[in-house]
Amino acid sequence: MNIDFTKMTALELAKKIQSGEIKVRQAVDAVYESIDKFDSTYNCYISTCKEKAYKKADEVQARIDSGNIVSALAGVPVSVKDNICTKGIKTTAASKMLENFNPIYNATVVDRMENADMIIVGKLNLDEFAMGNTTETSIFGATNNPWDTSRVPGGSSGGSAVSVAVGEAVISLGSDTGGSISQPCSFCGVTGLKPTYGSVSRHGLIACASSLDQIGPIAKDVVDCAALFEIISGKDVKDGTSMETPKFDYSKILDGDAKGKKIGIPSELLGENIDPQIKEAIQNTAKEFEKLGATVEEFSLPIVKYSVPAYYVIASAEASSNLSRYDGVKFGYSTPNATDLQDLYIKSRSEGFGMEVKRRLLLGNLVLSKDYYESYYEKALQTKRLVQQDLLKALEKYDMLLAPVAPTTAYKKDEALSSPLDMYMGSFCTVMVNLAGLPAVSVPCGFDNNNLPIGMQLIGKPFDETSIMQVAHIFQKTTDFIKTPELIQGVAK
Amino acid sequence: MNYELTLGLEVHTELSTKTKIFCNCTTEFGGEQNTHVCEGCLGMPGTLPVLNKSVVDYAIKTGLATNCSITQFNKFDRKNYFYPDLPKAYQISQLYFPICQNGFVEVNTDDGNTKRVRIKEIHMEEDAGKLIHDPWEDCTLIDYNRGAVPLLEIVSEPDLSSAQEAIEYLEKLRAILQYVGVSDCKMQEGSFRADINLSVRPVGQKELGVRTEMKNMNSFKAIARAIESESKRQIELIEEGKTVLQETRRWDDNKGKSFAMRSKENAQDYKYFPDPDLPPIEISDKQIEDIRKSLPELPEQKKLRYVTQLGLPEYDTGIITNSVHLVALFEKTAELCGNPKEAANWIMVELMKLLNDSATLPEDMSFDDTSLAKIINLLAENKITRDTAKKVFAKVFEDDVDPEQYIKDNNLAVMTDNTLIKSTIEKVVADNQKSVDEYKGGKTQALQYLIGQSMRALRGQAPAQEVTKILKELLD
Amino acid sequence: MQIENDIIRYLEAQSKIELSDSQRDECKNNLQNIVSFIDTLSELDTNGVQPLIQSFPIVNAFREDEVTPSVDRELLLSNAPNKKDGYFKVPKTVD
Ligand SMILES: [Mg+2]
Ligand SMILES: [Zn+2]
Repeated sequence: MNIDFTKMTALELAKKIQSGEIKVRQAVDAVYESIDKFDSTYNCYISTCKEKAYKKADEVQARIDSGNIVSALAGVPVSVKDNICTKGIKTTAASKMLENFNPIYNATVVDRMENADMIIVGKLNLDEFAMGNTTETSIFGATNNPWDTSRVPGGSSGGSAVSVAVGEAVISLGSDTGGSISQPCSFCGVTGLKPTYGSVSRHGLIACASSLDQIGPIAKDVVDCAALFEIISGKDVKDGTSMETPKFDYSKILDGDAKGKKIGIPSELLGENIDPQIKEAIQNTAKEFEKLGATVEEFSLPIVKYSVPAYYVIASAEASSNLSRYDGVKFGYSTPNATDLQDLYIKSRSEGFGMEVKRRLLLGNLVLSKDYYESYYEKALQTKRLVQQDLLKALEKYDMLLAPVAPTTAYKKDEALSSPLDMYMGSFCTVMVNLAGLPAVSVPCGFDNNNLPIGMQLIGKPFDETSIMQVAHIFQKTTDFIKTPELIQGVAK
Repeated sequence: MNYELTLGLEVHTELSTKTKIFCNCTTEFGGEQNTHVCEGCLGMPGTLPVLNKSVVDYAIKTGLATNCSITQFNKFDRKNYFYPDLPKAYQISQLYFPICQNGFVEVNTDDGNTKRVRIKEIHMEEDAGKLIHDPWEDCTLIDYNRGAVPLLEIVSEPDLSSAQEAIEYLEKLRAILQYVGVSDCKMQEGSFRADINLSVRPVGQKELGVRTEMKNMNSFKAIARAIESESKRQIELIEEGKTVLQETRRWDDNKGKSFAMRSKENAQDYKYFPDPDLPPIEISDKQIEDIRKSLPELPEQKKLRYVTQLGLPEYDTGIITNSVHLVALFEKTAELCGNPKEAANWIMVELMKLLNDSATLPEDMSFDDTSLAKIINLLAENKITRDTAKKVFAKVFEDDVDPEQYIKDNNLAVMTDNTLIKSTIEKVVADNQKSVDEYKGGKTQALQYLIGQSMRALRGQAPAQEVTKILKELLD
Repeated sequence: MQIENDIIRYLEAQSKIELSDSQRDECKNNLQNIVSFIDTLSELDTNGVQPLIQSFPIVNAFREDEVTPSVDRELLLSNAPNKKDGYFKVPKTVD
């Protein structure tokens, strides 16, 4: 049977599997066939795990055959960003440092997906240690944008977004620290959810910035994202920062309504550093929402200006400490030619980390050092509170906020890396969401003159993923922005 | 010139919780290398710390027992530095909001008074692993079994002024920790350690001298030696017109000297910051009150009660109450024999001698805690002589024998067969005609000699009065 | 603030990384730009504002004090680059 994931959502596939129309093995075959066909073009995957996948597929098939369907996505293949630990499957964070790291435990989200009878098929490319928004700094090479392979897919969950866009996966997991789910979704024309901080366990997520990191789903549409979010979310005893929340129910997003909803647009996010075509797409989206019965208005959110510098201070500080454990001693890359202990540390880390990681380690050490702690790190934490305060205040007035996901559409390769500060500014629309810990859904809402996708985000109240996804769902039902790029078949590897 | 010492101590004590501070690995001492370790306490990528509830309870207990105020909103910070015994390259500790603050412990000073040693703070943190130098290869081996075992760091103000005071303070602190049951405080297993902050200044000088920090002492004796040595070193430097450097020094007890650690470690910037993985700890008034109510009687209270209610000498109570193990033995013995003074006396005299002679610590005593009471009771009932009692106790101390069984098996009970006693004494009299003659000639010392000989012949098991009585009858 | 070579070297030492001369030059430039950008935070009045660490007021995330088995040592050491007799191994440490 010909299964084309560019034309099928995860839930559609699940229905066919659960009705017996498609066998689990066939679904897994389809993923690997698609990878064989296209991954040399797009480079989404760092590794696959066929043996495990087929073994699990047979187990799940047996359960389904006996009428035991444990979740809405039972039998569905899923691919996972390679900074999420999978027991017995190499997890590299796209770094030479962890090139051969073989976790001895599963991330909680992985356990939950397996318990929900989903099949893990492979691990997806990212920026090294999730630091970046282009998926170019991976030691496994850059991932290519499906709409224009000379461009970046965004990042750091670039592999996840592209795999869904080109049908090398039907659904996948990414992680978001400062827009790392939302932004690649917008660059690639797929849908993603950055959940409220604390709603998905971080246990097993290789830490970038602990207070900002969240794992979230990336899929073809909002309903798929909701179904996977239902499976992975919820309090986990292994993560002290995960929160006790009411059980999320994906089916609720199907019968939502935009009628009477009040939506605010921060006018700073329609300012001069936003590409006019993107502004236009957002304004069109606003009109669409009005047609659906919502009221939309602009309001001023001056604090946005300070969110990027505060974000980079906090993210770098936490990362510099989190990445200190990679010292060549217990796991990970260790230089073969150390003369003494200090040499072991310095060479292992200098040889094991790439340039962007090093840059952030230096910055992190700067802002935490005794002399600068107060003026940089503490200041950034204070700014974080102000950002949250102002956003929560806005969310008292509005049910949700609408904004572009990125100031531009996908950049040309190497463009961003040549100026780190410009690259950091690319996170202008997203980092405030992470600083405030809020949920945001990223949804395609148009194309620019170069036929590159444009994304919008709906930002919600804490732990109210339901409302933003309901409205996003209606939007997707009534518009037609979910499109498939023209795929380029690669030369088989 | 005369100098005075200013001393502060940083005590690290390992808590006797069942599990480590942030994971479920056992804290049990020993065990083969790296067998009490999981992905969490090895700091593997993606793992997160989740705080052991008992650690907070233990810290509050300790704080209340040392008169601290409890910081009702406290949290953890990361202390960043690279060292192979620290798997994450940061230690999770508390800098900004330690759980206990502003307490004190009262100690006896050299001049017989009591002195308050203020406690600046007590904070929770994780222990490091153990580094072992490989004797065969030029390398260091790491065992993370002790890594992430919960620690309390108890930081005193610089209120101490002599080695002896420092030891008094440490003994008192150890007793308190043992009383409240938060730590076994075994120095030889590293579960009770102290770093010394020390400076000297000429008497009369207002400002404090430059202080050094000394680490790596593994017994009270070593601490005392280190204090003596370091104060001498600092005084000599000052006398020679040199300056004391503010630095961390490592004590080498074998050499009886301290050595400066590399200056790099002295210029360390730990880049402390709040640990984002660990939410703050909020402690309610009720929790504090509940714990306060559950606290056992503490050394000072016990001491007072022993003196006023039991009439024990103050000196004895000081010694006994400084060790939770001696207290346990004393209270059990006193309860079973109904004679606290006798119980205290046996502990102060016989037990102390046995401990000293065998270089045993009270915590390593291993005999049944009812044995001493049994011996005291047998003695009180005149079933054994005092000599026998001491011998039996020595045997109990050494081999944990049952006193009654041991006395029976070795036929050590007091002789009740007067004919046997009499016939034995008659034989002594017959064999010592010379002394008999001397006695009859008026030399009373000869009687003592004959009593001694008789007791010996009776293997000390006859009542002394009875022996004297019979001897006199025979001679007179 | 001004990023000078000695600051970069200090940060390298703190981070336990060593840059080549050209990397250091590049980094100095990048960091200077980034730090100048971060310096804009000083415009913001944060007087009396409590730092925000975790996004939401969560407290007392505890674990019960119950032992579960540790990891099999073989497995624990399976990712270790250097090991010996059940130990992790590093070059000799000096005090
Ligand atoms: Mg400490
Ligand atoms: Zn552990």
